[in-house]
Amino acid sequence: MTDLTKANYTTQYTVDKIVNVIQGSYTSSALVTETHTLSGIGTTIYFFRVPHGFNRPVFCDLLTSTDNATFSDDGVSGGKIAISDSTYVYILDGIGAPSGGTTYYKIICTWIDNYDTTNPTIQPFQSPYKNTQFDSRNNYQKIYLQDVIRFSGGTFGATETATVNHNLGYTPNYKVWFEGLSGKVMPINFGGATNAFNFDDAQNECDSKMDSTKLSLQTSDFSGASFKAWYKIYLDS
Amino acid sequence: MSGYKPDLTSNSTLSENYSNYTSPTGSIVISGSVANGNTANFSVAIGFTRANTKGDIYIYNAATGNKTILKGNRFSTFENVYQFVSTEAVSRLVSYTSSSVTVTVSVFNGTGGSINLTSQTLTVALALYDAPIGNI
Repeated sequence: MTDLTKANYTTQYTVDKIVNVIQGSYTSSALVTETHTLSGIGTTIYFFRVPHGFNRPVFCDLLTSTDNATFSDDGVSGGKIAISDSTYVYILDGIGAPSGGTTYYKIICTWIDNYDTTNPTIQPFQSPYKNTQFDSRNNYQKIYLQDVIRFSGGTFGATETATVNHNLGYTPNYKVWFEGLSGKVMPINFGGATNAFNFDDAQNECDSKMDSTKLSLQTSDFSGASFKAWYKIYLDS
Repeated sequence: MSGYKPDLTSNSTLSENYSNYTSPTGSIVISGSVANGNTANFSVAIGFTRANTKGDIYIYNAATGNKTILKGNRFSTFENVYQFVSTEAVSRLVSYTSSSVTVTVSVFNGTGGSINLTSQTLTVALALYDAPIGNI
């Protein structure tokens, strides 16, 4: 049998489905504000908001830049984070008054398989920025396992864990998104007081690790309500 | 053109894909002692062309067998990727140029005394994609 870990593409496995790309720039005048309770006090949080074009959340990968030359990926230090609800993508611009200047952004929206049971029909998406749809010389990461995990989240400050066995015998690539706040889907992030992407005392956190047999998740529950996490385990490493 | 149901579709030319064109790696070697109140930094730079590229960054420790995708600012004991010797605070910093990414492990010792870091090698692995994005 062919070793599919060495195959660039196979119809046997799903790949990430990019359903929209949104890019542009914004200045502080375009930001919207929300008031969140952070460290016990009401705090103004600044977001850039743009519709993603669907009626349910999508996974968002984000690149941002302040000079339109060097871009940072989301969720890492120096970068920003993109959050999706059923209508918009929100870029967390910052806590407190914005510093000014122009932020350039590129948002890549991928479909959340089995977000719910609706199975909606969407319009095809072909990027205006690339001429090549598929290149057999390149690898398309094959989704070996994907699903949703439901955390009870009922007790403030509680820790919950979940394990997904893959038993591949090596340490594969993976991604995890979760509901930091109800209906708000974001990449995993954690760190408590040191978490640069925490903007609400009621925001859940999620941590992860992968080994040769399983994916392990650990949450810090602050929302007081159940919440979901979605994982993708790739055949690729 | 009529629509399609992505929930029921394994893959389709009606959507775009992440085209993974290379997966470079680099190593961060951690060792030595850190005096109380001091910070030690260990880093690796990995080259790649930034233009319209999306990258996933993973960090792996063969000694613990654990890998984590780099999200968030700090290493945690749950991740068990960085091998703690005490209660040192360990951050991960990522910086970019137009042709490389540098991943830095920053160890701050606030334990009250000098510590000898656990000698370890962390592998930084990138999955780089031609993404369907363009110039702004």
